[in-house]
Amino acid sequence: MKSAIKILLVTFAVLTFVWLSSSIFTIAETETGIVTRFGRPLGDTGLEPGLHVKAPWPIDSVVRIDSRLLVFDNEPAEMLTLDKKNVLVDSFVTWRVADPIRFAQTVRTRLEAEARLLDLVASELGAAVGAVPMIVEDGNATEAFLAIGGEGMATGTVVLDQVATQAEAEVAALARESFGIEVVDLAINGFNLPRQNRRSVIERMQAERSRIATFYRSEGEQEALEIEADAAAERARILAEAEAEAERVRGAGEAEALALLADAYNRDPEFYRFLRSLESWETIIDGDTTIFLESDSPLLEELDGDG
Amino acid sequence: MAEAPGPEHGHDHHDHDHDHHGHDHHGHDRHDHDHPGVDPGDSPGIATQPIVAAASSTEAGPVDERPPLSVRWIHAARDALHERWGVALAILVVALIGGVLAQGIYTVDNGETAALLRFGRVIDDAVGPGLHLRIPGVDTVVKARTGEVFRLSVEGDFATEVQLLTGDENLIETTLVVQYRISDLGAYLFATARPELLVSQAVRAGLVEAFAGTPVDELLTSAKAQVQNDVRNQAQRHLDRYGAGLTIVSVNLQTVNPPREAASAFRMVSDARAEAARKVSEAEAARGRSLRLAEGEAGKMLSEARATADGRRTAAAGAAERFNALLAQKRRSPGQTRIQLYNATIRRVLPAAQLILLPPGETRIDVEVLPPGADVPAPVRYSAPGGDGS
Repeated sequence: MKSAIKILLVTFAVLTFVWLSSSIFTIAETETGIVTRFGRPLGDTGLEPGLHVKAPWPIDSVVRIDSRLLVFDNEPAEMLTLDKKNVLVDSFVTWRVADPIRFAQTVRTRLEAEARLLDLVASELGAAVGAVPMIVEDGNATEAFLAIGGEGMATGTVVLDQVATQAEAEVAALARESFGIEVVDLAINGFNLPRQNRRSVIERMQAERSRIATFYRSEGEQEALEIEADAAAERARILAEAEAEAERVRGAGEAEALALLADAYNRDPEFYRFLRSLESWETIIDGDTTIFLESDSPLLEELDGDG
Repeated sequence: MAEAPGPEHGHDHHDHDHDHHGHDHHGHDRHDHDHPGVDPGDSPGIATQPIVAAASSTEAGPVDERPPLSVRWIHAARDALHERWGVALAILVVALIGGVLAQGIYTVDNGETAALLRFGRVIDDAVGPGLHLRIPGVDTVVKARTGEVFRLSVEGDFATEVQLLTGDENLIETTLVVQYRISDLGAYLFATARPELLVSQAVRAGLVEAFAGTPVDELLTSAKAQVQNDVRNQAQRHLDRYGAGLTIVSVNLQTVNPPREAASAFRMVSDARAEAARKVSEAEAARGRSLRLAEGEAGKMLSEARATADGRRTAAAGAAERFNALLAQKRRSPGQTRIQLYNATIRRVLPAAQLILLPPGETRIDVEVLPPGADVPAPVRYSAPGGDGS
């Protein structure tokens, strides 16, 4: 009998110890917690990591909530830009639980929270995307999703980041107020044309490429022609300069020759004139020259006498 | 404190079993502590798994052994009291204390950093390499390879290539690799749920932005380094906002290609470029050849001119010498020289010409202009020497 009572007492003591030990609990570094008394949360903020005490079960219980930064990758959604172009925008949200009590009361689970976030992001991002054109068409706007860098086209400032930030502000305010969620970042991680547009885009790219190829070819030809023309001009210049130089050289030679002769002839101009007239006879008189002479001309004697 | 962990740990373990039956009670904590390091669900699809959990406090050996040890300790104590097995008791006590103390020692390898958690709370997130102490059963240690650079391939939603739109509305595909390292262990382990996913998302956000600002031709040629740098900076800004404890070392674009359907069109452009370059270089070569020829020609003209000038000078010198010689002769005998020169010239010149002899004293010549085709009487011709004029 005594031993039975002993066993009962020991069992009771052990059970009491186990029961009381349920009032000690720890909160991990990666989480926060709320103590609820019969389902009603105690306090108005989440618990810090570490060792905590509560009333034993079943009076108080602990709700643990992941306090880490979580990533939620949205599915790509088709949206319309200001210039009525369809784009496929992919985005992701990084968020954490900021108000555990509000979070526990409204969405409770991560999946539920992400579903709500998806709704918010879809509408807010859609609105933000719809306020910006795909490309800058004229000088009126400067902000666009794409900075057209092609020939002769306007260049816009890429505003993907700003658009995401703008939507983020809206989403963050709503999520904080409604679900106790802090949206740390909403960013666009995909910006594409819808798949059904792919074919026409590729055709456009091909047409553009062949235009560019033609441009390069004709540019090359033009440059080659310019080089040829330049070469011809350069060649003409070189030859002309050489011709001029040759003239100068010849002229200088001529002048020197004349000076040399003049020096000599000036010693007896009369004798020079005599010699010149003899020389001119040699050049003037040839087979086509007819000379009329009196038959008693001394010239004839001259011819005969010496013969 | 040294004796406490033993029994408490036993309870802890006990409670843990309870929780599996659905009670939201304590004991959960141990289960959750292991999460950041061990749970593979935290980073699915990521090649690297740098975290090493040093969960020695939950190692199978000591935990399984201790309850029987405790039981035996009770038995041994009773036996010792009754049968004086003092030696056996002493050995058991020493073994028990030794086992507990052994759990209080842990090592951190070179290249690793450890975080020490007490009751789930981080008390030190920068434990360096070496031998360290902890409180058995209370402290948990999580280690990660902070000295290592991790490598992550960023992939697209539908393929390994990321599909992007360029600044001039061209489609383009790229594959890339990101290198990063852990710069803040506490943040890396506990601040974010999926650090590697954050890296790839942040990098993709940077990519979209950088590509949207760059035309396709630059992306395919010169802008690669610039884009890599921009993406890295942009992604790092995102990661800093998240307090992810990660630093991106580099972003490497491994391939940047147009879509397969348009590849031949892009090749056509590079062919055209090559052809244009070839034409230009051919023209340059022709130009060089033509100019060298012109220079040669110019040289030739110049040397010919010099030769001509020299010839003129030489001839003039010769003529001057001849004149001087004749002049010297003339000065010696003036009349004689003149006559001899005159005669020599006449003799050379006259025979070539046609001579018409007129009667002596006749100085008037009748010149009649004859109509074309008229019969012209042959002139009297004198032929020298020794001519018999007819």
